[in-house]
Amino acid sequence: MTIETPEFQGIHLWNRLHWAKDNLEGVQSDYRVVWEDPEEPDAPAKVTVPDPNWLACALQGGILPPVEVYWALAEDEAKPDFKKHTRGYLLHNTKPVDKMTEEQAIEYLIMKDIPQRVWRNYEKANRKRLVICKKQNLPSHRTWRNAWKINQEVA
Amino acid sequence: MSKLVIDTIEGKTTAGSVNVRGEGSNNTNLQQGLAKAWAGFDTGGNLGDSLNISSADDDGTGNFGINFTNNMANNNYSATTNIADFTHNGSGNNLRCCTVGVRNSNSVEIDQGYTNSSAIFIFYDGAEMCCSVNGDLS
Repeated sequence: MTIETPEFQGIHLWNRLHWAKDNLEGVQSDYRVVWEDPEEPDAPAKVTVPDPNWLACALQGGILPPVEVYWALAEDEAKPDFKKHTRGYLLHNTKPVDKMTEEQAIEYLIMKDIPQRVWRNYEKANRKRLVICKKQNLPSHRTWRNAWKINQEVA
Repeated sequence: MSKLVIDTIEGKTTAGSVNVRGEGSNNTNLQQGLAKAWAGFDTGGNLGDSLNISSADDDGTGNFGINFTNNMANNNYSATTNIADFTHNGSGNNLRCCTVGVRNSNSVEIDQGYTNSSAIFIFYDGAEMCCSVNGDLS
């Protein structure tokens, strides 16, 4: 059964998440984002896993704010005199984004939760540092977890 | 016995602040006592269930993080972690535990490991982890 998203612009994002928790089934994604941080060249590859409840919100549409809102808050937080967010209203008052496909949601998630230095100017990097893959493409055990790197030949 | 059936409780003086009468003359603020995010996830970053979480990061052995959908207001919130299976590793080292690392308004880092006989924290992949966050939302 399809459920219609209420008009959420101007409603606190927190309230929307409660509505989603009550009304939407979580969606487990098979997608994984594997990435390497250029500021930590010796660190192993990291893996970002979408949250099922968040993905349900993304697929439903009309709940999540545009990803640019998170960038604005990150800019505020990066200022040396940052103490507390004063533009949190951007999360709640900006028109929510429409429903996404799962692939679009993963792209949104990359831009939200992975540092911009990883994916901005991606094509200018001298090595592949971000890959979207399926869960089954990851190593099946974690014995050498801290040695994980992106395979440059298949990426 | 009275039964209260309502959808919303809102403060009269300040909409976002409701006091609950506590011990003696003490008032407990309802909003300050509520968890603003929580998650249960395994060492692969696979989330079982959650609230206010957009993703989990598997950053390496015993090195994890969770990202919030609704940012916290600042970096001074409280994050409490736990591990679902507090077992001894059987080699003379201490119990496995979870600790909170860097806190940002949009994420918190969680480490898992144990301290060895030289009191050095060793990152370790143990069992599923739990995290609960209290503080002010953006």
